[in-house]
Amino acid sequence: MSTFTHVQGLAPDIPLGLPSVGRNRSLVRRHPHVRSWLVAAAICFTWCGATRAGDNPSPPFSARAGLDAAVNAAHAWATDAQLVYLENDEVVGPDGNAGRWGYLFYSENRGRARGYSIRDGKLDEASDLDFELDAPPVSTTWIDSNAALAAAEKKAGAEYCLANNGRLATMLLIRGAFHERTPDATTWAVVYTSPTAPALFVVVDAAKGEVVRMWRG
Amino acid sequence: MRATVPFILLLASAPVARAAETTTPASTSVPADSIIETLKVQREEIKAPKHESLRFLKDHRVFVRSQLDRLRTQVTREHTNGVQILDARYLKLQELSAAIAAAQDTIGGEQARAAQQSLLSSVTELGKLEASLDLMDSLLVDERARLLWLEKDFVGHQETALVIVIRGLTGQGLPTGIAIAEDNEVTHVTLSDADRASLARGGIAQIFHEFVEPRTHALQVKLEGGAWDTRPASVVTLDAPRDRLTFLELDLSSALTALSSFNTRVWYR
Repeated sequence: MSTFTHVQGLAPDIPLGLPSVGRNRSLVRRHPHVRSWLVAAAICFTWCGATRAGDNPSPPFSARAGLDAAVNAAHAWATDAQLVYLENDEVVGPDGNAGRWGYLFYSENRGRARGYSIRDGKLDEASDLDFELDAPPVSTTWIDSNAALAAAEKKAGAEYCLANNGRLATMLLIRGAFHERTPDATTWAVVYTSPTAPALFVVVDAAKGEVVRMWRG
Repeated sequence: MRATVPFILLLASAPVARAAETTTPASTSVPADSIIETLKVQREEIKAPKHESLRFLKDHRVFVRSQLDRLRTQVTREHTNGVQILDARYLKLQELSAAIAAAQDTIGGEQARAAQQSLLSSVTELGKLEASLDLMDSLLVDERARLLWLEKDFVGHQETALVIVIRGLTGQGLPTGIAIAEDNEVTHVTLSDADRASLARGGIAQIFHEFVEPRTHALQVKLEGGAWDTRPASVVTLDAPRDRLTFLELDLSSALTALSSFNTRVWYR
């Protein structure tokens, strides 16, 4: 028969990976505040790690609000760089704002496209596009993501989400790719997805703010 | 622990580096063909992005690219500074061409007369023949002067380019601009009030000077502004030889008539 003895007033050994210093010579035992400091340091470390990993939500902003930062970065890369595409990099809220937007620029002189991800008004990520994309530059005047989403929601998006338990997946701005009749127009494409139904594409004319095309697929 | 490894390597390599420095003078005397060059292939490190960006585009690249492949782009250039100052040499070339053609006619005529007169043997006839030969000599001198002028003008100017000049609109209702289109490129030239006033007084205006491909060009020329917008574009076809400057003169006086085309003149440098 074995017996267990519970000793009060002494903390169990902390496996710090240090050489054993003996019960009475332990830093934790000699200085009771050390444990509090270690706990506080661990919390701080965890918080910092979470922030760096992007778990901390950044203030959402509209697509146009981040454009200046993206243009500045792109022009530092190539003075002839022109915006050819943009897309939300994080979830878009019901007001059309997102915590991060991605802007793709194309330089005729360099013959390459480079993407810039903007968060909180600052450059978060920049990388070359690893495939060729011969996209025309978007027009200089386009409605912001707020207005585009409002138009898409009003036309079909809200109804689709309600009926199919759907959600807004992507908003992207491009010229020529989604407008069959007027390929010169710059358009927003608002993509809704659902676990029970095919995705819904709503194309909004970025100059007029009108829905010009919809399809499922 | 990891940080100590490069530190140890650094310490270990320090004497080696110093030894290399001390032996540098000796190595300069080594013949170049004793240097052994090695090539090592390494895989490039792919840096994963910190945060994913443009995910939809990357996931649906095939679809987006297929949509873009169906497009064609049309480039439009706006020349807002109106017409350009006409280089006087361009018109000089036209004059030279006409003078050369006239001289050739004269020489041809004189050669025919000389052939007929070669049968004559009288002294009087020989005097006339001498006069004819003097005339041909003077023509050759003129020709040499023209060639010298052209040679001087040609040095350093070998290029394939097209210059378009307009003239012939002197009445009211001058166009506000001219559009020149070919394939998918359109060039708009806006005529300023000064340009239009110059044209109205019978002047010539240069509206286009660009490098072009050395081939046959079919240009669509359309006058713009007011009533001219209803007039359909006229097609002008011309050959642009390689490394030569091609001049196209559009006589717009025919635009006032029912003719669908313009009178044109083409010359080269």
